[in-house]
Amino acid sequence: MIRNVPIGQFVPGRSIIHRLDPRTKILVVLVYVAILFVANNAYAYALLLAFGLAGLALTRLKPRPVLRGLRSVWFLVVLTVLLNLFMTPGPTLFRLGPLHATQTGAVMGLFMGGRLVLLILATSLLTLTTSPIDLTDGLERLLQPFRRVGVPAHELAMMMTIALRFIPTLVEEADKIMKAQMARGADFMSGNIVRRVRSLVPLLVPLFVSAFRRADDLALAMEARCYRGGLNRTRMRQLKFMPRDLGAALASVALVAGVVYLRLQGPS
Amino acid sequence: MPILIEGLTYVYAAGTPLEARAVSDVTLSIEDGELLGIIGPTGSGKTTLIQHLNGLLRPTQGRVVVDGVDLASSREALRAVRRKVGLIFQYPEQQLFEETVFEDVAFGPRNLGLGEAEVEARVKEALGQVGLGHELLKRSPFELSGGQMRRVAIAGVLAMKPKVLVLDEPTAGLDPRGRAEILGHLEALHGRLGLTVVLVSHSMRDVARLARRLVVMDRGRIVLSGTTREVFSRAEELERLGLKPPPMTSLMRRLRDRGRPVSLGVLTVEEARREILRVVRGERGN
Ligand SMILES: Nc1ncnc2c1ncn2[C@@H]1O[C@H](COP(=O)(O)OP(=O)(O)OP(=O)(O)O)[C@@H](O)[C@H]1O
Ligand SMILES: [Mg+2]
Repeated sequence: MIRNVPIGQFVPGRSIIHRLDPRTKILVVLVYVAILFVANNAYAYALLLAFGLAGLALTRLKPRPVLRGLRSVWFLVVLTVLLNLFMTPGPTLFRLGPLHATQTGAVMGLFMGGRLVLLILATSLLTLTTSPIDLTDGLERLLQPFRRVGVPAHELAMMMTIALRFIPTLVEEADKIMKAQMARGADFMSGNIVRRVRSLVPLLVPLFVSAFRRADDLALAMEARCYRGGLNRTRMRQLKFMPRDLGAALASVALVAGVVYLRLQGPS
Repeated sequence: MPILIEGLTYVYAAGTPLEARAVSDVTLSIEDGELLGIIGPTGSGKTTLIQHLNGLLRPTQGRVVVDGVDLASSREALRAVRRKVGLIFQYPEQQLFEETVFEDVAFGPRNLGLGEAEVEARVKEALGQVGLGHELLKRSPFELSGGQMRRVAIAGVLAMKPKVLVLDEPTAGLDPRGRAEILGHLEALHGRLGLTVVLVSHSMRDVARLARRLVVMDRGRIVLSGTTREVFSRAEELERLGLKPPPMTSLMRRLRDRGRPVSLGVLTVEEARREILRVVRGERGN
């Protein structure tokens, strides 16, 4: 039951997007998200959508996992559209009781909603096609230059790796403890909010106990193998930029140029 | 209250790339008051199977009928069966959460909505059934030894007075003395209270000592079943599954290989002693 929590969305595959260097993917997504906020007209949005869909097509993913990512936030999208629709001042489009929708609001709402959907699409393309390990590796490498100004790149990456590594373990454990308490008549599903929160105690206490024990064990195991941060560390898996990474970079440069051009020239 | 499992199939994460068929088409009936052992190599689906016995998992296909009631029929049926079938997970001490032993064991009975006097009586009785004294009542369960913690956790289920006790590797990770104690308590519960006991175990010695009937699972299916003696006498088949018959059965096998006419249906040291004496006396007699 608890396994359906959307974490670790990674879907293994051999597509060109899967094989891109994680650094490339992270940078492209960052650029894409930034440029989303530059776009200010329908053409620019169409261009961004086309780019996103092209990326999606290249991943050769089945629609299911992608839609699952969107499902968790559709509420936010609808809320954004509605708030914009009703709260923006401007010429009235229609009335709904005390609320009145405006034309400006409709346009704003669509743009904001679209922005949100594209944002989620782009970030899920990254997490769907990049294994958590690659993701943290990529992040660590990208943060390297900032070490001079005191960003603990290796430590951050290590913390992320460990957290990611233990999420499935903890989920599994939570599932097991929940079942064990249900076998003792615990009821996690019914009652009012106070009861439900209280019913979590038999789940959370054992979960924390075991999480602390695991953390302890892990720290000991790392220490026993002389772990002392990223100093002089060598890697088994080297990240290398390939021609396809250049292709992705060029495509994003073209996208940026297109969106900026449309903002300067196009109708607003 | 007999338990009937019919054509049970369970698939984890159905419809995803991680789909795993853990139990396939298992049919099994568990009689009243019997002591059934379930063995099988790692990943063979034992844990998955027993989680169906009190409705923690719902069959992908097939059905589970307890006392004539299909568990899928209603929420009420499910609630009723959770009281009748007590399930003790592997490493049950990991589920302890209360501040005192008393409170923890009382968790189940309180969930049944019992009065405070009844709860207290049951807690004390259950702790007694696993050989723990009342001096532990006010202690924190987290400062007990591993074996004591496990027994407190088992008492937590016993306090609900189930008719069927299902245990998933109750002796895993205990020292020989802890194992013997737990097994002794189980034997007593089965003998004195007539509880039906289903014991999942990796330890052939444990099941040889306790179980009257054995079911062997492999890759989600039941591949062998019969009385404990019958199953253990089929050494080749067990060994092909990576399971080893209990030490005394193997000893008899080796004696047989050396030409001694011993019977292979031997499970315990005592039985082995008698069997060897019988054969030796027979040889002298000739
Ligand atoms: N929560 C789960 N999600 C997905 N697959 C699972 C899950 N639990 C078990 N499995 C898979 O189902 C199969 C049967 O597992 P199960 O735990 O029932 O085996 P088992 O016989 O109890 O093994 P063991 O002797 O190691 O306890 C295994 O292949 C396992 O990988
Ligand atoms: Mg198991």
